[in-house]
Amino acid sequence: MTARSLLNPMTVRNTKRVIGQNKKLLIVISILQALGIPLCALVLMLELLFETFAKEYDAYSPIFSGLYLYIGIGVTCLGAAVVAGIIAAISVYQELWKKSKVDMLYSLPLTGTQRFLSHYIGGLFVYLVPYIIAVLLGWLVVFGMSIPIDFSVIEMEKGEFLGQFAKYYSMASVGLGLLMLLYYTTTTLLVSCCGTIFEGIYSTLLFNVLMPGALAAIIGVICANVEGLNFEYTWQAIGYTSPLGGLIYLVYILSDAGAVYIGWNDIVGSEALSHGMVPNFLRWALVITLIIAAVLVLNWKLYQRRKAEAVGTPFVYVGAYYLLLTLVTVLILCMSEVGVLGAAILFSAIVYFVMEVIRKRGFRKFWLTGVTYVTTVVVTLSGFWLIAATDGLGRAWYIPPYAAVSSLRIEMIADHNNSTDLSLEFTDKDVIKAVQEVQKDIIADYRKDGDTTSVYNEYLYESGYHILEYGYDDYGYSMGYSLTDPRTYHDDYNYNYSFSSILDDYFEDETEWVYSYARDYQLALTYYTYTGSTIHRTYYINGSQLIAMLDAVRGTELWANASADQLKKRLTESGINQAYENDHAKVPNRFNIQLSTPTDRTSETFSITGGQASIDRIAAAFRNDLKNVDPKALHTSGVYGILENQPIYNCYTETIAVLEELGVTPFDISEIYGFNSAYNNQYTGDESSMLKIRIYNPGDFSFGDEDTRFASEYQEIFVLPQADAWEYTYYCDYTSSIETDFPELNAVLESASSWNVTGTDGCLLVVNGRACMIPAEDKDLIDALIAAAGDAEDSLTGSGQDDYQGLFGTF
Amino acid sequence: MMTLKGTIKKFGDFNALDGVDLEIPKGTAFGLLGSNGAGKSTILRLFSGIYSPDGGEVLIDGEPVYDNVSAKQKVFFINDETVQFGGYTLMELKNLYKQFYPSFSEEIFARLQGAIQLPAHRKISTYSKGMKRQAIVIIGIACCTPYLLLDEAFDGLDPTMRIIVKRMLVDAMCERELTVVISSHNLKEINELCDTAALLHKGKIIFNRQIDSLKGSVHKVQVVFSDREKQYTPEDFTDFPDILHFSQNHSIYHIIAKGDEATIRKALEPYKPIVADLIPLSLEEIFIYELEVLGYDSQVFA
Repeated sequence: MTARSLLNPMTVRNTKRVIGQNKKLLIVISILQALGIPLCALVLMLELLFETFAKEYDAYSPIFSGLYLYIGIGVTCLGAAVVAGIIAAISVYQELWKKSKVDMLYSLPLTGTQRFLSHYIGGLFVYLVPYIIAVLLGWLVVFGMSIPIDFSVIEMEKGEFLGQFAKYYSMASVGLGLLMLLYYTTTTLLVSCCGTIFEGIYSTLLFNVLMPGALAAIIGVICANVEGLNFEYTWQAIGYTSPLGGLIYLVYILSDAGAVYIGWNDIVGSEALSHGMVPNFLRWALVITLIIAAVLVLNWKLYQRRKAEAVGTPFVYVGAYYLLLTLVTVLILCMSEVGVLGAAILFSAIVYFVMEVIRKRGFRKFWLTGVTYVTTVVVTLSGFWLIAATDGLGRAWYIPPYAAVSSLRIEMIADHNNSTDLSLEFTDKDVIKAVQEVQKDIIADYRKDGDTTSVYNEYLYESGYHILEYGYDDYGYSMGYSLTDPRTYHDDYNYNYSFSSILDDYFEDETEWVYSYARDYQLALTYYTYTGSTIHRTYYINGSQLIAMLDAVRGTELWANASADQLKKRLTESGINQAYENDHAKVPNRFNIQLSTPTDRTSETFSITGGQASIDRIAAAFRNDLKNVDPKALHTSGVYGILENQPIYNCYTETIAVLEELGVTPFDISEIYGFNSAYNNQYTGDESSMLKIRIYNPGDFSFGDEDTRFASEYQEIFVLPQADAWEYTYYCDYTSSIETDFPELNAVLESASSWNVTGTDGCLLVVNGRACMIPAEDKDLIDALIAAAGDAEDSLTGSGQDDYQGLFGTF
Repeated sequence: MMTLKGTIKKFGDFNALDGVDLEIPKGTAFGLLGSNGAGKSTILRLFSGIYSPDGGEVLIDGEPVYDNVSAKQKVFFINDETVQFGGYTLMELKNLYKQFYPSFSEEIFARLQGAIQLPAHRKISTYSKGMKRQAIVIIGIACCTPYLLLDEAFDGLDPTMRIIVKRMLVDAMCERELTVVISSHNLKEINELCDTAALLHKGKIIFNRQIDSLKGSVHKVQVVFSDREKQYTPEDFTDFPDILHFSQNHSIYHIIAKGDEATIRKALEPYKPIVADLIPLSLEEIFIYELEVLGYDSQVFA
């Protein structure tokens, strides 16, 4: 394709002819675009104004809800105009499917290149020029409409808002324009490969569905078999497969940026995607442009090779047909991943042979069809097997050389919490290197034993104390809200959650359930290399690995700043809210802060003076502690309390000093239990599958009274710091019954009371975090329970502790 | 000059042209005759650059025509369909072709259009079949290309219009040494318009000669031999020129033979004919008898 061909007067003349011949289509597309784009742009702007950035959405929701009709009209018109690309492509290349046009068009004094180009450009003009004009019209409408709008309703200045809008609108319009170009170009390619209009239309439709669909299915199979690869991230590859795949990806980019809400924001990896949203978009746009160029060149070559007499013959270039046939076959065979190999093969065979019969108009050389089908199945399934057997050809174990990494984003999420818990991007080579060392250990762990049973989370069960880490999202990096260090994980409160029925899908029997704690945390690592490539891995890790990962980043400026800034922000917002003036008021001189118990069961409020300066002091001290703390000390440190969701460890000496200087006092209890309201033997395996028993001696707990901090909460019981409980765990299944299977426990529960009616001589029984009292006169029942537990050590599936104290000093 | 040199054209497994050699000098009115599927339209499409040859060469004035703008600008091809122009008015069609053929003559177009009074601003799809044919013929003539190719040119024209179109073509040939190549099954038209004709059968050229000499080169002989008792067969005439057809009715023999009159009479002398009448064949008869020899015989359904 030379410049000479492009500039040749014959090309120009024929282009004009093509445009003239498609005047009606041009008019229809122009009307649709002129309605669609400005309406969509206007609605997008109003959505941002009244929904995304509005100070008070409720006040404007009636306005916005009235816009849905316009959204419908705009999207319908735009959609119709975009889909019309197939009509444009087919209409301009009539010589490829309409016999009566062959002589007229081929006999014109044009070279094949000139004819191809002029038809391509003519169709492009009809299809894309109305879009470009409509996009410009959209700019005018939006900026025109923005003049009378009162921008005080939103949280940003008019200029800033328009700048934000311009960014999203530009990306959306350029992205959509590129996709339309890709759609048009691939359609012309497919039309060149087909001999009839019917083939051209259904090939285009199938191509758009099958390319992203089959790739997504293959990615699903790969991710299911290759540790570390994450479908939620890897699926984005479909953005490069076809116009439809590209559209899904484009919407995802923009939705992730907040421009369009579609509810995908909690997908792990979305933070990684937003890493340089504009560069990511530009990279995608560049790749799509290159793909368009490649498709165009391929189309040109095929068009030149194609003979005039080929019109009307089925699939002139049979490769296109076999591409579609292979895609549909592979897509169906991917069903084998969910354990229906036989059905997948049968279904794919039916589809394959039916399509072949249609194409061949009968059973001519049908043995060849059988051979190609068997080959397709064997190659596909072998590919799946190879991927699984070699861990994605070793890709699962690949870690990029840290020298090649420009930055590394670390995201962590706890499975029992739906928020994205941590997301920080590090550029420090030492940190990257340290993280990679942890990653190597994680990989080695996987390679040693791919399932979860051997990765017992020792910290979780043995540490006995808890750490909470919290993160933030307001300073150019983000951390979530409740990343739980395994040491913060209090069995009594949380194991019910972890053993919820959702895990039934993952673990087949009780033995494995025990270890389901092991990899309770999702870690996503995204490497951005200097060459522009992105390598993303997701692992499920245990608590020890989580701590190792945290140790790798702890002490960094980024970590300390993120944590301290978030603490400062939360304290500030909390203080401002107490001012009750307006949203932009300062923190008052006297304000309250709340310190929670280590397991965040309850909190105490302290009145602080000094306003913002005090908050700054706390934050600065916290920052210093994070940077300077010795990891070893942190690992063994207890929790002083939780301040605005941030755990304050005992080793955070500077923070604690500032807090106490400001009037905060430490807690004198370790745990608080609330009474269960109606305690009886209702516990069955159906509820929790595990009954965790904890019994405290009478002197190890107290009830609130006037002298305690929680006097008013008389239904709570405070376990003293030095308390040591007898613990035992019963494991149940769905058929278990306390009454028949654990009669000693049943007897104890029968005597249990939800009120402290037994005076001070009773003992405290905690079952799955719920407390009740056992009267002193029923101590025999407790003795029997403990004895039975000891006798049943071998027969029960649970485990007891040998070093229990005598509850009443008599054991 | 239009030239085919060993030209091969295949459609799948079917050989449409099998090494055809053909030269059509400038200014010739050339008729392409042949059975259905003989390759006539294929030759026209090769000359107009629609088809690319699978072997050999297709040349216009010494230049390969396929994918060659300058060569294609010398050729205007009118095929046997007119549906492709349905979306245009006559004026639009004129303006379209005018862009691609620099030699287009508005004056000729106006003259021809005026002569046959075709509505200029009505969609061609609303024309009758004959009018559509007239429209594209006047466009083709007005393009003033040195070569005009017509496939079944007179199909759908009424007798008056046939004459008009023929006159248009003849005038153009007279005015500017136009080379016209006509493919037609209507041998009368070819006979009237063309000075040279080629007969094609199964992708090969059976003959390629001037029509006048062609007509004198094959004769029908009605002969009665002196030995009336003898039953003659074609094998008895070994010295005779090519015999295309041989039949007997009582004592009268009908022989179609190639060769001029003198040659045939000389060949008959040894058999002492009592009566020998020689009648030159019409083009249609030549067509039928030539193809009969090749097995393309209408008598198979008799």
